[in-house]
Formats: sequence, C-alpha cells, structure tokens
Amino acid sequence: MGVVSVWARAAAWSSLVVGAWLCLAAVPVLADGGPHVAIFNNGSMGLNADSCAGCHRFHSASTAGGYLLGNNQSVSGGTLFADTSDFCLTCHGATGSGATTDVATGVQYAVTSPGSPKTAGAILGALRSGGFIQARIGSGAAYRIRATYDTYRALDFVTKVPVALSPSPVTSAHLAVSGSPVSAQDIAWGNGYASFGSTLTNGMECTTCHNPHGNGQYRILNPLPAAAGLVAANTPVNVYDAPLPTSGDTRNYTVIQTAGTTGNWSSFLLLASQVQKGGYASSSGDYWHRFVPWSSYNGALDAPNGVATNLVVGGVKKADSFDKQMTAWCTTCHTRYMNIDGPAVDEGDPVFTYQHLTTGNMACTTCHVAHGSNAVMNTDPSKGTTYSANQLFPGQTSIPSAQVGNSRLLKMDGRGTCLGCHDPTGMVTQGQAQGTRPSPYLP
Amino acid sequence: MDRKGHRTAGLPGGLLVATIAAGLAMGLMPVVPSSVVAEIPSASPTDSAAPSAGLVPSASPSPSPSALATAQPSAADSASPSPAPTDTASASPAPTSSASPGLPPATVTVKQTSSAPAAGSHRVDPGSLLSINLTVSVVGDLTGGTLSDTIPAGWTVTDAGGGTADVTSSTVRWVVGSLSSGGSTSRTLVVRAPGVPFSDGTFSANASFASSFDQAGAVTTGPVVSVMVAPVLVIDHWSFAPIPAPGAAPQYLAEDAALLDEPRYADVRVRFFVTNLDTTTATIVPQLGYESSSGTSIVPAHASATDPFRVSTEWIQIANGGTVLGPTLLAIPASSLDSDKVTFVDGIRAMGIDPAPAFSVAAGARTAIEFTVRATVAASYLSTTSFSLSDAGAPIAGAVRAPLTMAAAPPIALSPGQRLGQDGIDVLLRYALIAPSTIPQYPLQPSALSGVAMTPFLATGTNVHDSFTSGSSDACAACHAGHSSQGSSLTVSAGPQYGLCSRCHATPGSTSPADIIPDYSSAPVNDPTTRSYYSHDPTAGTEFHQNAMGEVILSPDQRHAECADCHQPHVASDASGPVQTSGGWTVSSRLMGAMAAQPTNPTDPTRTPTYSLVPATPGTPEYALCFKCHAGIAALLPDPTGSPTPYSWYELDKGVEFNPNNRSFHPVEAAGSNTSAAMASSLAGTSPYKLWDLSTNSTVRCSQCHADSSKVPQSAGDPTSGTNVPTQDASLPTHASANRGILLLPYRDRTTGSAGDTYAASTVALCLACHAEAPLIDTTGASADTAFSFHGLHVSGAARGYGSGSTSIDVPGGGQGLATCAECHFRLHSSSFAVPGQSLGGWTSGGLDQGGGPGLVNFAPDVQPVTPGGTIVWVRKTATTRGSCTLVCHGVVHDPAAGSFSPTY
Repeated sequence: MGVVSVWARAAAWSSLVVGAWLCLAAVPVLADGGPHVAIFNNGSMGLNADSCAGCHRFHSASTAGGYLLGNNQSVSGGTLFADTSDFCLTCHGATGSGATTDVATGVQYAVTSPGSPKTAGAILGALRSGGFIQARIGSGAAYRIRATYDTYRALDFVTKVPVALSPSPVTSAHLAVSGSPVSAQDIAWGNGYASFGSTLTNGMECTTCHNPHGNGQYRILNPLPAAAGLVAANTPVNVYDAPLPTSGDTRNYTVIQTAGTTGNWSSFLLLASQVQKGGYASSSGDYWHRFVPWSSYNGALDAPNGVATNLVVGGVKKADSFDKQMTAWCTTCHTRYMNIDGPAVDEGDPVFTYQHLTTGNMACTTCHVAHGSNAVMNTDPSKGTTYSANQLFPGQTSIPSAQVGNSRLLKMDGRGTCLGCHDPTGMVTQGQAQGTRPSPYLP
Repeated sequence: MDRKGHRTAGLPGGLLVATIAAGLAMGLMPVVPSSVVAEIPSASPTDSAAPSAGLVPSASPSPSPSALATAQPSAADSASPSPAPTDTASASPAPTSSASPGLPPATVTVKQTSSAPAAGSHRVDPGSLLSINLTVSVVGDLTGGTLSDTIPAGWTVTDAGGGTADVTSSTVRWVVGSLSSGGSTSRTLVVRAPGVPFSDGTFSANASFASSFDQAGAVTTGPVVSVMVAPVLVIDHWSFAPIPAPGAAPQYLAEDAALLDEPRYADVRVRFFVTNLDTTTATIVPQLGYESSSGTSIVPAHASATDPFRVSTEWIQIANGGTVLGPTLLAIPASSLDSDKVTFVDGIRAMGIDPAPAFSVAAGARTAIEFTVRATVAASYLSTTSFSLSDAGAPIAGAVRAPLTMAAAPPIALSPGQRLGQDGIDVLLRYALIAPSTIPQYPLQPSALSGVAMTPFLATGTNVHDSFTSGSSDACAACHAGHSSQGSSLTVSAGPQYGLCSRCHATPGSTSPADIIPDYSSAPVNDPTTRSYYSHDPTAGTEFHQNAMGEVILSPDQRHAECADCHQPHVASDASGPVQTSGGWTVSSRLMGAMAAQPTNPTDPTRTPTYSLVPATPGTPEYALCFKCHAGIAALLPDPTGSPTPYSWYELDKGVEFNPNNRSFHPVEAAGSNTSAAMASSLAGTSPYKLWDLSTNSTVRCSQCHADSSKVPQSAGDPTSGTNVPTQDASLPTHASANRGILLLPYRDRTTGSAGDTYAASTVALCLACHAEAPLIDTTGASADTAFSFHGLHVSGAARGYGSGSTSIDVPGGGQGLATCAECHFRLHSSSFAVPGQSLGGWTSGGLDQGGGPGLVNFAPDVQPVTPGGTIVWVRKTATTRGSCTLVCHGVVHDPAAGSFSPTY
C-alpha cells in the first residue's frame, strides 16, 4: 500500500511536471511556426527535432490509441484523454494556451506572450470553419442583394453571412468532442458505395482530417482522410497551402474581413498578404464566400478531381482552384456528393439520385463550414414551420429525435443556404436587398 | 487548302525572285516616299514576265495567292524548321562585284531580326504588324552604301524607318553614310502582313525578308527572316447537326452547308473544323458567337428575353429508356471526324457552356470544336444569322461563319370557328397540333409517397409556399434536397410534378381544404375523342410548360395541365382571396406568381386580342391565367374527329369571347352590357340552385361556372342546399368536376329534351346559380325577371313532339320537346362565334353578319332557317317595335310573315 502511494505520488509529480511543460512549451509564440508545420517535422531539420515532445511521452503516456500521447494534466492527478481529439483540444480548446485557434468556440485569438492563456489575447475573429461546441456564424442575419437580373435564372445574388457578436451552441458538428451539444456526428454521409447513406459512425478524430505532424497541405489536411469504417477514395487530393507567413506573423484563419475593389477578383478574395496580420474587428467578416482565400491563382494547383482545370473565362484565369481542391478533398470521404454533371442528371444512385452541382464556386465550403455551425433549423419564425429541422439524412427512413434541428454544417438558418443564390419566385428585382447590410459590404 | 486542310499547290518558287531581278536589271525602280503605305502587288499567274512584284499604294488589289506562294515555301515546307527570326547575322562575304578603285571595301556584317515569335514557324497573325530590325556593322572604314530588305508579296510597308520603298523591286532601301571601323548602325522597318483568306481561299502563307548591303557595287548578302502568316488556328469549314428530338442522334449536314428551317427550341450542333499550321501547340478558349445587330454577340448559357440563341445542354439516352441532361463537355473522338484517322485528333463538344475551357491543338493537327445551341423564343422566324468561333471573344482572322436561317412560323390547325391567336411579344408558338388521342391519360392516383409517414411539420395555419422572397426560409427543405434528391429539380420525390405536390395535398382521407383528392374523386376520366373533359389532369407529365430555362412553352404537343401552371409553388399562399374590380376578378394569392396571359382587347370584337405573358401579381385578372391555355395565345386543340366537328365540341378563343366590346357577353372582363331592370331583377331573383345575388354592375370569375362540383349542392333536393354555399371570393378550384366542362353545376348543352320530358331545373342549374328561375317556369309571360316573356313558354310550357326525333343539339332539325337554354343561347360566353347563317342584329364585318347579337341570343345548330339554305333571323323587341323569330325549332316553324305561332312578342 505504501509502495503504491509512493509510486502514485511520483507519478502525480511527474504528471504535473509534464503538464506544466504542455502549458508552457506550447505557448502560441510559435504560431504558424508551430509544431504542425511541415518544415519543422519533415526530417530536413535533422534528427534533433524538438516538437515531438510537445505531445508524446515515450514512457509515461497512457492515452489510448497507441500514439504515446501525454495525459490530461489539466485534471488533478492526470487522466486519460477520451480520445485523440480531446488531446488536440488541450491546445485548440476554449481555454489554456498553446494555439491561437480555438476550435471549440470557433474563434482565433491574437498571439499572447509566452505563458499567457490564449484568452488574454484579443479575439482576432471567427474561424471560417465554425466551432465544435460553439460558433459565431451570424446565420440568422444574412443579407442578400440582387446584383443582376437574369429572367430565367436566379443565381445573381450577392450574399453575406456576418459574424455574430456572441457565440451560440452549435447545432451540427463534424466531430463529437467532449461538451458537444449535438448528435449525428462522426458520420460520413455519402461515403462508400451506391445505395448506402453513410459509413463511419463514431470513428472520427481530428487526425482523420488533419495531420498533426505537418504535411505542407492547406491546414495540414490529410490528402486522403482515413478512419475506421471509412471507405476512402482511391485518389489522394492535395489542397495546396499558401506560403508561410513571415516569422513572427500569425496566419489568420478567420472569415474574410476586408473588402476589395468592386469588380475585381480581389473583391472576393483575400490574398495571403491580407490575412497574415489580422487585427480586424472580431465581429466583422463574411461567412458566405463563394470565392475563398488561399487560391494560388495558379492552374497548376487545381485539384485532381476530374473537373476541368485551368478554367479561363474571357481570357482571364478564374480563381477557383482552391474551391475545386477543397471540394475534391471533401469528397474523398463524402464520395458520392461530388457532382460535376448538373442537377438534372440522374447519377444512378438510389439515394443520391440528383444533386446540386459541386463545381466551380459552388464548393462544399460555400454552403457548409467544416467544424460546426450554430445555424438554427427549427422554424421559420414568421410561419412556425419546421421543415429544415425535420429532414432525413441520406438513406434514412425516419428521423431520430436527436437529429431534429441538425443544421448539417450549413451557414444560414433554415434554408437560407438556398436563397443565398436562388430566387425561385422570380419576383426579387434587381437592386432589391433583404436583411441588414453587414460591414464590410460587397459590392 | 482543301477541306481537310491539305495545302493546295502554288506556283514555282523562283518566280518572284526572277521577277524582282528582272525589275532591277531593267532599271524599273520607281520610288515612293517612305511615309506612303505601299503594298506588294499581285503577280498575275498568266503574266509572269511583267514587273508585277513591287511596291504599290495600299489601295492596290489583294495579292494573288500564287504570287504569295511563289515567294514562300510550300505548305509541306511550313512544318519544317524555318530560320529563326532573330540572330540570323551572317558574316560579310567578300565583295562580289566591282568595288570602287583605290579604297578597299570595309568588311560589312548585316544582321536582321523580327518581332515574330522565336518558336515554331514564327507565326504572325494575318493583318498584324511585324517589326524588322536591320543592323550594319563594319570592320574597316565604310564610306557609305545602301542597306536593302526585300518585301514579300502581299505585305504592306507601314513605316520604312527612313528608307525608301521601291515599288518595282519590292525593296526598301536605306542610304547608310560613313562608318568608322567597328561602328554599326540600325534601321527598323514596320510591315503589315496580308489578311486572310487569300484570294485562292488559303489561310496561311510563308514569307521571307532578304537583307543585303551594297557598298559601291560590292553586295553583302544578309540573313533572311522567314515568318508564317496564319491565324492561331485555321477555321476553314463548318457543319451543322440538328438534333431531331431530345436524346435522338444528331443528323450532320454536309460540310459548309447552311442550316435552313431551324425551329425554335430545337437543339443543333454547330461544328468548326480547325487546323494548327504551326509547329508548336496552339491554345484557344473557344467561344461561340452569333452575328447580331451590334456585331458579334456571345451565345449565352442563360438567355434573356431578347437573346435569340443560347448554348444548350443535350439530352442523352439512359439505360431504362429515358433521357437525362448530358454533361457540359465531351471529347469528339478523332475517329468520328475522319475515316482515315490520320489527319485528325480528338476535338471537343461544349454543351451548355460558352466559352468552352481552354483547348489545345497540337502542332500540325486538325480537329473539330463544336457547340450545341438552341434558338429561343426571341429568334425571329425566317431570320438569318451566322455563328463564328473566337478565342475568348478575340476574333480569329479568316475564320469562317456558319449561316443559319430560322424556319417560318409553323401553321396552326384551327378548330372550326376558332380565331387565330395573336400576341404582342412574339411568344406564340404556331406548331402543328398533335392528335389528342396521343395525349397520355393517367388515372389520378395518390402519390406512392403519400403513404409515407412524414413528420407533421406543417403547423396549423402555416404555409410552406410563400417564404421565398424574404431572403431566409425554412421551407425549401419541404420539397428540395441538395444532395439526395430524387427529382431532377432537386426535389425530394421523383416522377411527375404531381407526385411532389401530392405529398402534402393528396393525403387519403384528408379533409383539409388544401387537399385535392376530394376535388378529383368524383370526376370521370377525360375523353378527348368527344371533347369531354372533367378535370385538369395534373398527372400527365412534368416540366413541359416551362422548361429548365424558364421559357414558357405553349406548344400544343404539350397541352396538359400540371400543378405549377396555376400555382407557383414558391409564391402561392393562402393569404388573400380574389377581389372584384370593374375589370374582372383579380387573382387570389393561391395563383400568384403563375404565368398569365394578359389580353389587350381590340375595339372591333371580330379581331383577336393581343396577349402578354406576365407572372400574376396582385391585380392581375384571374381570367388571364385561364387565357394562358384557353385563348389564342395558346394553340388550342384541333378537330378531334375530322369533319364535321359538332359545333358544341368547338374549342374557342376565350379571349375573343370575353372581349367586353362584344355585343353581349358574360361579365368576366367587365360588367355586362345589359343593365336593364329585367336583368337586375333576374340576378336578384330566386332559384333552387341560387348561389349568388349579383347586380348588373357585377363581374364574375371563370370559376363561378367552371369549378369543383363538390363545392356546391348539385341538386335542388340536396340536403345541403342553401348551406355551405361559397361566396364569390371563396376558393373555387377548377381542378375537376363531376360535370363535363368542369362545370360547377349541371348544364345541358349538347342535347335537347325528348318528347316526353318535363321541365327540370337540374338541366339548367348552372344558369340558376345567378339567374332567377321564375321566367322559366312562368308560362304566362308575367315574370318581371326577364325581357323575353316567352321564356317559360319555351322551357316549360311548349307543345312537344314536332321534332325529327334526334335529341342532339348539333343535328339540324333535332329536338323533340321543350327547349333548353342552350338552343337560344348556344354560345354562352358571349355573342361571338355564333353558328353561321344567323342574323342576330349584331356586328357585321366585311359585309357579313358576325353573329353576336344582344342578350346572348344565338341559336344552336339544331335550329334551322325557314327556307333551307336561308338565314335564321332574330329581331329584338324594343320600346317601340316588336321582336320576332324567323326559324324552325323542334319542328315548329316560326315565321312572322306566315303568321305561324304568331311568333312576335
């Protein structure tokens, strides 16, 4: 008994020391020079890599999964992390230090001094991917204006989804993390073979999508996501990243913050130089971006997704490479969501028979966020309807009660996602606007 | 070049050189100032001895292809590496002729470069400017000399750079002064390449610029700059391929054959044959344009109301026999382009996109680029235009244009009595009509999905259909699914449009007012062969009346009704009912957003209104929705049985019938013309079927006569009679009825009574919904509810048994017993379209009585003139004159002149 106590005390002290290292050694001073960046982990730095010890314990690890991850020292006496994802939240959660990106509540903080918690820094903005527990998507305050008017097609809206002033619990999330308020997670809808609605139930972790050791990809995305139960695509998809920011800068992962010049492609894009510095108001920005940053504007970086590459319109190369890559990457798991044929083409799949296009700027990330959304799907307040809250997921025949209100990672309440681009009535006139105009305003 | 891109032969290559030499030898060297634009004239293939190669003003005729060919290598040569246009300096040779005595000539080096691309065949665009730079370097002192550069035939000197253009010798010369040893001097010449096609139809030519320096007779030969004049791609032939029907195989016409008789809404491929003559890969962004009043316009993917063409997505056959929309881009196998599979490489076919993605053609390759296009409603009949291919809008020199001529407006097959419809916006489609028997008929069944347990997300009093203009909506999800939809409009259910609507509106056992099952439950099946229609059958198809591009199509081969023809699902609501105005009733919110045909009435009611298709908004007349299919803007159904068609089966133009300028009419578009006290009394009177008390200022809705029979009591003895009577502004759906013609109440209009019949109000129940019954049952003529005191005598008190035996209202001389309303008010909508052979005191046009008398009086076909071949005459009673009928009805002669039946009143 006494021996056990001695060993237990020794282990506890050891754990505290390790925990202190975790909190201090992983402070956000590294920022984008942090442990995940490929150049620090790719072997070219020699055999003296320092970053391994940030997460792994050669002898004292006991977290399940075989990754030799450290214990959760934020809990007295140290405990196992529930899974790898919870370990990631040690740095990327809502508290503590170690990373400026808080994927739990969907914000990014400014860099703080070593040892200071991330929350000591100003909120830089809302993460473009939302959050796993809370998000700041202004999903109910969308704005749209009919910029042009085509008699027969209603795809000519400029739409904005602002950042909310305060966070709200998510109504859908890609991943079940501790504290998540929603269910129907960890399911890869549209994965696998025809006739099936989904695969991969409760088998997903942060590392399903992200490579914590760095791989040079955009947001260290795995070119071929892998998880238990997942029927992965055959072809890896690279999503190329922009050049790393200069030393000392923090890459900004928040929603688009600045307006460009109307009519110029930069109106809808942020170049890397525009987003490295941050310093924008935390409640500004736009979640509804049909065109996205980090596009290399280089056809060579088009994704190998089978979509025609090097799109040139009027002699000008369109900046859609990133969208294509991103859509292609999403569909390495959601394999049957990829649709390049048009919505009126029978895909020959009993479940996914007809689909919205996912080409060009109609990318997955146009309508959906990656981590979690707080969009409300329960009612149309003016009508009291609950259509969007009671939707079957693909392949379902009944709706589990826990699924009611699931927002499916959409960015707008109800089916504002549809109306962001469409006017099925043909009655919205050119120049007519709806909603409160956000700032910045484009155009 | 022939159609496969093979170069045609030119004249012998030394001809031009020989010509220039001859000119020099003969001293024929007229000069023009360097500022004068000059051009190499044509060399006549039949006059090679003439000094034809030289510099002439630019107004000179175009160069002959043979002259060009003589100065250039052959087409086959063009594939061979040619001298680079830069750094082609050559060492100065020793003087070749007598130099000035005393001083040894300096050693001269001439260098010549051009602005043509260094790669490939140094291709330059036809008509483009080429800059040539010549440099003279010397070793040893130079006292002076003349620098020369020969200009190929067809080229124009635009800037001689201080030199003198010699027309005769096709040479530009510069006088060079003294230069110290080691010195150099440069001259720049700017020339313009000839345009294409050349007079022999070719699209490319090679050209050489030969430099030299003459030092007191010692000639130093400089380098030759060679370029190729050709477009980036030679587009020399086209071919059209009409696609007869969606999913059908395209029918390729002969190359360079113009497309004639192209109908609207039909897909056709237009193919261009292209050749890359260069020795490097050529890349363009193929963009299809058409010739318009403003030049060349891009063929859009989404046509506006004024775009006559749009690029179209083709329908392709699928395994189960159906068709689906095809992809936007496909490769055209080289094997399909040329049987020898030698000269062609794979091409591309763009469908629904313009421009196509960037497309590269390998060096020396020939292929095809084609687009699928469709003429829209804005394409004028018999108009001609031409299509052309550009590089992202930049014209390609010499590219051929493919001409297309629209077909003439197809004729309409009119029913007897039907007037040709007109329209103000050229949307009327005058296609030939199909036989109604081929129109598929489907029994109305609840959707297979209606039995699926759906979460009852529709709260009482809520509406899914009217949330879509707010910018946010919950309701899209009720019908659409972005990824896992079963219908082609991303709808959650497959099949006809009705299948989707029936998910909510056709629930077995439902008693909801929004449920349409009860509407259809008592309706017999439609019988087109006898023109007996009991329902607007919504199950016959999907998306026929409004195609994927939103173009409203009123073609008769798509004549059926579907839900969205009257109910725009994204706009309709239950918020407001119809409103009576002096111009008729307006649409309810249930019909809002649906396309309506708004008429503009001519003053002369014998003419046809014009129509404008507009989406129904508050204030749009309700009848305008009916007119969309039942007036002249649509092509109405033709004679179903051949001749003669019974008059009572005619499908007539309701726009003509309800024109308020008619002599008499039911007050749909305006209050009626009969404002008499008798009419007011009739409208205020009672009847067993009375539904509404109207006034002479009232207007009525189409649905007050044509609506669901289940909405009102159907017989005088109906226990619900007098109760549950809808108000005028109530929902009166026109979905279906137990009564033919989708009539709200029974009405006998195709038969007359038999000899033993007695008066039955049920045969004229429809009339009695508004009009008093008293005049019909009062045989004494005392009723004040009519201006015609003999109503009762005819309808309930007349003698019977004089007729021929037929009870068909369409059989001349038919009728046995009591008269029915329809025999004297045959055309009930208005006084128009009366059966010929009647004089009714109405309008005349062109000296002919057009029928159309007052009081809606016009007689049925069974009523005959007193004299065979004569005229039925009705004279209306006035305050000072008596009225009369001159006719034979039910075998009874009414002839005031003969005194029979004392038929004056």
